Amino acid sequence: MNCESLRDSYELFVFGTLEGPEREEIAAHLQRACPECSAGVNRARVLATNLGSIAPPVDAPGHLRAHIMRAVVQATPRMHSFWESIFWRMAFPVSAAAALTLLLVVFGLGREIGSLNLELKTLQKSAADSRKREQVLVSRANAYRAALALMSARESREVRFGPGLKPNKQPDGRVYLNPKGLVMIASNFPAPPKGRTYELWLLRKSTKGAEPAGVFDPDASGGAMHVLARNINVNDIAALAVSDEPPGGVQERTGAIVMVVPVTGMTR
Amino acid sequence: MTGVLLVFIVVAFAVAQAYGSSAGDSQARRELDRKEVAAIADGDQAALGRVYDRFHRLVFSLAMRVLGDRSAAEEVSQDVFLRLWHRAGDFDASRGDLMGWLVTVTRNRAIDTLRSRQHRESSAWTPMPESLDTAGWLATAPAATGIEAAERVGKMMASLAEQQRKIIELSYYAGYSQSEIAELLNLPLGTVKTWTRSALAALRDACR
Ligand SMILES: [Zn+2]
Repeated sequence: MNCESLRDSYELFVFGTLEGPEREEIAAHLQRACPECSAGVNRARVLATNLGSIAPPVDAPGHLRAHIMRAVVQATPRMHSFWESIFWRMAFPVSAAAALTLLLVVFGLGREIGSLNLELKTLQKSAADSRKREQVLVSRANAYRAALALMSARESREVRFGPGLKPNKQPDGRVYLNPKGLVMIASNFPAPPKGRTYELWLLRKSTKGAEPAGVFDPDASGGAMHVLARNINVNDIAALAVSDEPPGGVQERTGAIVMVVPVTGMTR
Repeated sequence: MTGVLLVFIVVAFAVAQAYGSSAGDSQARRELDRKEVAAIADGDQAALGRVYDRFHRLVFSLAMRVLGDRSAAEEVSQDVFLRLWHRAGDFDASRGDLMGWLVTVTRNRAIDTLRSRQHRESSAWTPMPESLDTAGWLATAPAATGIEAAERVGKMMASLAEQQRKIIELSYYAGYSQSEIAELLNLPLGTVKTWTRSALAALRDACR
């Protein structure tokens, strides 16, 4: 399709309500930086912003600001920056540095668990509406405990994936494989498609089949941690894969594969 | 006629609120946005508070317009500012536009909520990417979304024929596709398309 025939569709494209082949066509034109369509979509975005700003004014409730600031304090990525600083910046060679890193991880995790427990105690005292957050914290603390055990186990194997160097849109991180389970820690995960979640798969050498290994969702900044706490035959795993699936996961893959990590070249 | 006038007054008020004291000076506004977002990316909570103070009304009003429900609008607003907190590091001042981003994310979230509440499943709803850095699919910097342009758009909306305005509202504020609108208003799809096209042409002109 030429730009001329797409001209009337830029606004609906920006509104997200365009149907038919025009939608893919405009996306393709933008992909190749078509100057006419880029300018048209750009103008449509201005209109969309203006339409958004002329909604009849309604005062937000006074408590909303405090609510948001409190949520920000709670969501400040203590946990996340901890993971990042420990994992992403380290080369992690087979050496004393690895042992030192692990020590730091163990120490850091211990502290994290300690502070989670403290937070838990405070929460337990408070009213019923904190119950939900409490559950999240409990499961998070349990997940960290499990992750800690798997990562520090002598027989665990580490598999790295992603570009490692400067961050781009590819998921990147590490998987620790252990006969008792696995833990995956990653960043740069794109949000899964609407109404979908990510599912991890173990690709078997022996059966050439894929075995579901649990579902996970990346957080708002693309960070993800997934723990599988069940016995696995590490030597029989050819690769790990991630696909998007309906909530709760499925037994047979249905969605698109987001990444595949061959299990070779163990570094520990 | 009184209705149209009333709509216009309300709109003018809303626009003035949304743009605040820096009205008209889009260059200064962008520079301020750039500084504030950089501070937020550095973890400055006070900067987030200031951005909230400037834009909460814009965000909450749009969420209310879409959802018509205070507690749902509250949830959406909280989501939007938390997302800004987490994603501020992606902001590219040369391409990004904070107000445009806030409107996009607010609208996407609110319509997502609306659709799931109505159990409306359709492949037609494909919201815009929410990255603060819109590089890659925008070759040019966003044109100024000035107070005058928004006022002209509001005025134009108020002057559209009833059915035309209804169609644009369903498309923009509720995320309905053309065929969904045809079904909802019991109109032939061709009519909906024609009216949409002429209404959008008028609104496009009003933006210039
Ligand atoms: Zn084009």
